[in-house]
Amino acid sequence: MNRSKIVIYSRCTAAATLVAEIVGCDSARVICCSSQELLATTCEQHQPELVIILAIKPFIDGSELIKQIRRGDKRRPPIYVVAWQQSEQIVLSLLECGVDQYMTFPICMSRLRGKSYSQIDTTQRV
Amino acid sequence: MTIGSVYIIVVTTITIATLLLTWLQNRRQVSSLRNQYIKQITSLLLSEQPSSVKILARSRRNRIALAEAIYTVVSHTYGNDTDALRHVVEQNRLESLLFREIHLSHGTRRARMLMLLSAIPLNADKVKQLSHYMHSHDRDIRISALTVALASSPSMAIRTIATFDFALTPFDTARIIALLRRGLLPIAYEPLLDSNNHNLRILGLAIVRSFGIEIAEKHLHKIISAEEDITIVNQTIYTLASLGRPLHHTRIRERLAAMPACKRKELCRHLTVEGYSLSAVRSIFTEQESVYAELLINSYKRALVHA
Repeated sequence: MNRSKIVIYSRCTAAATLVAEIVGCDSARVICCSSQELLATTCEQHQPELVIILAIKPFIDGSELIKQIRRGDKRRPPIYVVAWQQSEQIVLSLLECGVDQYMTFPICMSRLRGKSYSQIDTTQRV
Repeated sequence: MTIGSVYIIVVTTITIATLLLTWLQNRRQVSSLRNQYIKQITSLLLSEQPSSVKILARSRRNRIALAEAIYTVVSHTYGNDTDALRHVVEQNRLESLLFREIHLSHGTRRARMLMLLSAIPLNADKVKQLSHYMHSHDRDIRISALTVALASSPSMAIRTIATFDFALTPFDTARIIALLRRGLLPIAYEPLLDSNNHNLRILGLAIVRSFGIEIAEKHLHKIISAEEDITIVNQTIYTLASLGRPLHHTRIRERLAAMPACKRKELCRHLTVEGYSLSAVRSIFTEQESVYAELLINSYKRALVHA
């Protein structure tokens, strides 16, 4: 069976482990990355159905992370960002960068799981 | 340099390097254990039958890693099954371990253990044993002890904060707001803003800022007009700015005029970062001060401030 793939980027292994456990399931393989370069390479190699980024720094340091993630993947994988910041300006900046969904910590586990399942389902059907 | 002194330097360097390596190895093992426990706790909380999942930590190191895992999960999530977590805590006697660690340790380590304790479901009577840490001279210890008290008895939160001996710093309010965002404390900001207690007012303003409560604007103008405490007035102006409200009212201008030049510059920078237009900044600051805002808007620094 072809399992769908979810890529998670976080420099904090504890937070990445937590989110990986929430969104992971039998039908989805979760890959955690601890650097932006690794994230871009992983996305290019595996062509994931969903990318979850647990930081906002990659979007404001001029590194064009979204461009790197979606390079070579014509399916345009959805990108979720989960972080602590909740200022309106940050949310708008992220959406302008090309982020599909922004959520703030603390998160509801079942809600994040439900969202990722439905997103993978939609992406696979497309 | 004699052979003896060279020998002492070499032995000392090797000892320090060995200790450092041992500490790093130990930290790596705890980190790996913590990640394993995070997986188990998350499975437990997402499981439809929590009683079927058993989490056991036998050694002291494993129990500390388990407490760290519970802290990570609890601080990043909300709406969890407290009974399931309480069962894990009781099964592994984490409460007694953390209490012992808190009493035996000092400084940052004591603050860290208190922080871990704030994430586990506790008996409110037991927390009274830690109340003296709220009067500690160490800022980290006293705010961590306050967090434990607030998390264990949320219904007493206002009284606990009101009796806190020290003025809350922005870092302290951020810690309390984190509890609020987890749904542990009520978000009733009005009684806090009306209170005469400095800490409660600071917390009320932080709630308005953090949750973007626009209906509080009238309250904020009242504070700016009547309040004598300059710190509260400044915080109120910053709160209005974070809501993106106009700041050209006469009373606000008067308050701004009374501010020291450095505080005015700080506010000017803040307004620019918050996205106020140059004309809005010019309407409340002098021409000279507005030049600073213009320079900031035209530079790359404005975006970096958000980092």
